[in-house]
Amino acid sequence: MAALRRRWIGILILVGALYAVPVLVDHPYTLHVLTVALIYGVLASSVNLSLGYAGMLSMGHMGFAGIGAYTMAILVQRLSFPYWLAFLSGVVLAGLAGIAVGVPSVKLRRSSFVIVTLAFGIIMHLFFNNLDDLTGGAVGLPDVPRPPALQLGSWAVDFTSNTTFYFLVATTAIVVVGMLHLIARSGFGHLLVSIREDEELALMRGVNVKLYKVVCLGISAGLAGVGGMLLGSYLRVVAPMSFEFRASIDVVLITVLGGVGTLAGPLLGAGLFVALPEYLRITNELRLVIFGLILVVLILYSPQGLMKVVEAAIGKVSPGRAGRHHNGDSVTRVGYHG
Amino acid sequence: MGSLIAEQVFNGVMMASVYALIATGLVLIFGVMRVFNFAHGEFVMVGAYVTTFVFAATRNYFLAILAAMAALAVMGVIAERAVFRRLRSLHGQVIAASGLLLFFQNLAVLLWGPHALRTPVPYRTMIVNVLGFTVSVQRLLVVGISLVIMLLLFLFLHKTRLGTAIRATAQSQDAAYVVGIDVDRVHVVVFAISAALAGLAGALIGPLFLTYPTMGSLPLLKGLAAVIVGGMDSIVGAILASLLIGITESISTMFISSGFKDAVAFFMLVVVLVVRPRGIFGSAVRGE
Amino acid sequence: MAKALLQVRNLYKRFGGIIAVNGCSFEVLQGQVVGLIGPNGAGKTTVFDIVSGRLAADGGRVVFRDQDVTHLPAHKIAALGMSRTFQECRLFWDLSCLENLLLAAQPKGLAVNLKSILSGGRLTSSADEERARELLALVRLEKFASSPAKALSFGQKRLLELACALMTNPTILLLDEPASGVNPTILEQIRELLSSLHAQGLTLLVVEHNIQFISSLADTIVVLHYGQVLEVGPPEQIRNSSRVIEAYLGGRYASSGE
Repeated sequence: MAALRRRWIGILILVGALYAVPVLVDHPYTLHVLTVALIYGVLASSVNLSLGYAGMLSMGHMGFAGIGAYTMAILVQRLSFPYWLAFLSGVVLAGLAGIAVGVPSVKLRRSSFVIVTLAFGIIMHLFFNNLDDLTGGAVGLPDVPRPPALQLGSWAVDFTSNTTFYFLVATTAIVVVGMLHLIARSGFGHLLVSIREDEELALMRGVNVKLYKVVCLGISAGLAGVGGMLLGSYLRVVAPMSFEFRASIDVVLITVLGGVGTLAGPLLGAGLFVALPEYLRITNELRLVIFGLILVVLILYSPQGLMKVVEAAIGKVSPGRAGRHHNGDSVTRVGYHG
Repeated sequence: MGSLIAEQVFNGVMMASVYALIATGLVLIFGVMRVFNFAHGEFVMVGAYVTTFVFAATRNYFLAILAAMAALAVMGVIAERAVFRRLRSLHGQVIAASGLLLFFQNLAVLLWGPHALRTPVPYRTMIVNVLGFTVSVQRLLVVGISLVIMLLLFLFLHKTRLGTAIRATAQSQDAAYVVGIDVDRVHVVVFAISAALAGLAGALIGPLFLTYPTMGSLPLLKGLAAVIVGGMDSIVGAILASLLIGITESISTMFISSGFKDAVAFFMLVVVLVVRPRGIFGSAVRGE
Repeated sequence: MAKALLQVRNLYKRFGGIIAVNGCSFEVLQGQVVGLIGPNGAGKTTVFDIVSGRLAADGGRVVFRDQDVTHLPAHKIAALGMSRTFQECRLFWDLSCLENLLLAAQPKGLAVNLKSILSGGRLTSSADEERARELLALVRLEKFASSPAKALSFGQKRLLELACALMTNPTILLLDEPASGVNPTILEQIRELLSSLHAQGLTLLVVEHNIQFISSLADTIVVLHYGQVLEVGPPEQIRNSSRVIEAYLGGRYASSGE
């Protein structure tokens, strides 16, 4: 129980720190970097759901993010949808895309599934880049709006301010992580883990594996859509470049770096991948050279990512062991292991 | 019209040769070792760069090609030993290879800049009259050299002891151990060959399409498409699928905007995976 | 007259050039223990795989609880009350023993599982957990409740797998070589367990190589040979049948049993 309380305190501290940043640090660039990092944390969390909990590696996840982003931008700009309705539509469309991709592909063996998602990401990027009339082509759609101002009593929350938008993103990230936590604890999450551990055995024990995988991919895609829309709103532009093949790799890299199957892993990975190099003033290429190398080393020696290293350091459950819990719930403890 | 089609078909065959080299490399390592090398495109890229530098130094294209293949063979050995040997699971391989991909692509940018390099091989500007069509010698070389190498590979696999050992290991690794085949050595050799083929592909397309850090991505993906469409354990399938993709792609530019040309390969890939996951020539799907 | 719980009619299955099951028919009555024996390659596990939905039959029918389940997907057959174990013993190796049991008991419907996301819990009640612990105690694995399944000895793994199959309160239990590869102590444990399950009225279909083991448990034995039923009858009849002995290539079984 003491461990549980320690965990909550740790979480509260982190959340508090997250919100305190704009107050303590009055540097627009820092805010920018953290905003982008958190958005990528959301995107990585969506990959985490599909990979870490159901064992499905999607190498084209930014395709879903792009569907969300473009849907929202087009609905707002062309059809004058109210922002949040367009946002919701983006989530739904991205989710439906996830289901559409999932239905024919979850029955394939893992390597084929990876390739289908890869192909999907590439095809979507080609569409974004070439359907000039719809998507604005290579230039994309500029003037993507921020969410409209909120009226809270006498307070107007104005999202055109980067500080306010940061709070929105931070809140979204926390909500997403919270959602994943609820999923992980739920019956749904436990069955997903059983699918990840041994698909056929889960099937023989009565789990409709195909259905669960499709639903999981759908939710994951919808979350990716959320990330894509946040990115579009923040940058005020939705462009194909944000959703290309390389971006999909980056998102997977972040997830693996931070720790697949852990809750804070994607955020940790995003923080390291996006924020840290900015501070060290490392060029983009050098950053990727280093991270590429780190990724290879990680996979060889600590496939569970850095989160496990961190947890071990703080003295929690060591990697791979089931640990002792009063309710025998080892599922959320056992991380993804390749 | 006829000559336009013929020209496109020839272009398609030329691209197909390149795809076939890449796809064969992928099929070899998948068939023998169940390894899925996502970073294969970077081998192509390094091959192109080596060719550019060796050519600049020696002015001899064929020497440059050999250098590229040799360099990549070495790289292949290192990659197999250092990375892929320890990774059994697919996800581990894909992710590690992604890491390698990022590493190599960005290292190339750091070392040689993001701009494209030209490899002014004289054959590019030489033209020849073949059956009434004018064709650049370089393009003929691509097809010709690929054919020769594939033939050599075929002879190697079927007429030499090592080649037979490789084919045996592809059929059953356990049986190979039992009959005394040095499976580790087979793995290293196969990876080296696969990498050399990729290097050759890079050496051939560098002069045609410029040499730059991210040049490997699209060839990799096309090669991958060919492997899937053809069947992941069939070299013949990979070659035929490469032809199918290359020619269809090329002809499609007459009907759809060139931006979408690349989508053709991926559509085929998706259709095949959904309709006949084993590929056109692959053997029945095995468990993961 | 006990009714037929499971009927296998003219099952046919081929793998390329090999005909694994060639017109196999038998039935299992409610409350019976039926042993399925036969030399290696006779098609026993293939029959199991077809019945449980793991493989698709190329011909024939499987009727379970008066329903034609021949083309039903495996998870639906499991939901109808069929539970099975595997020849190679399958468990979720990295999950704890308790977790393995709870997963087996957990309701599998999508709607109710999605709802559980919001209601914040898993769907196994404390009653389920109690039952899981009882089963663990029954197979004497209580100490290992929180240990990962892979930490157990092979015999213990077999017992755990058996317990998992029992968690769903199955109508029929298919056991694929439950006693193979285990030491005599565990063998005895398994025999006792199966005996008591039989006494409680559970229907069992058991594939076994250990003739003596299965003879002590079964009401009827079905002998499979080259994918077809060679003979059906009570254990003593089978043990003394010359046809069966011939099929097994040796007269050893006639005298002392394995």
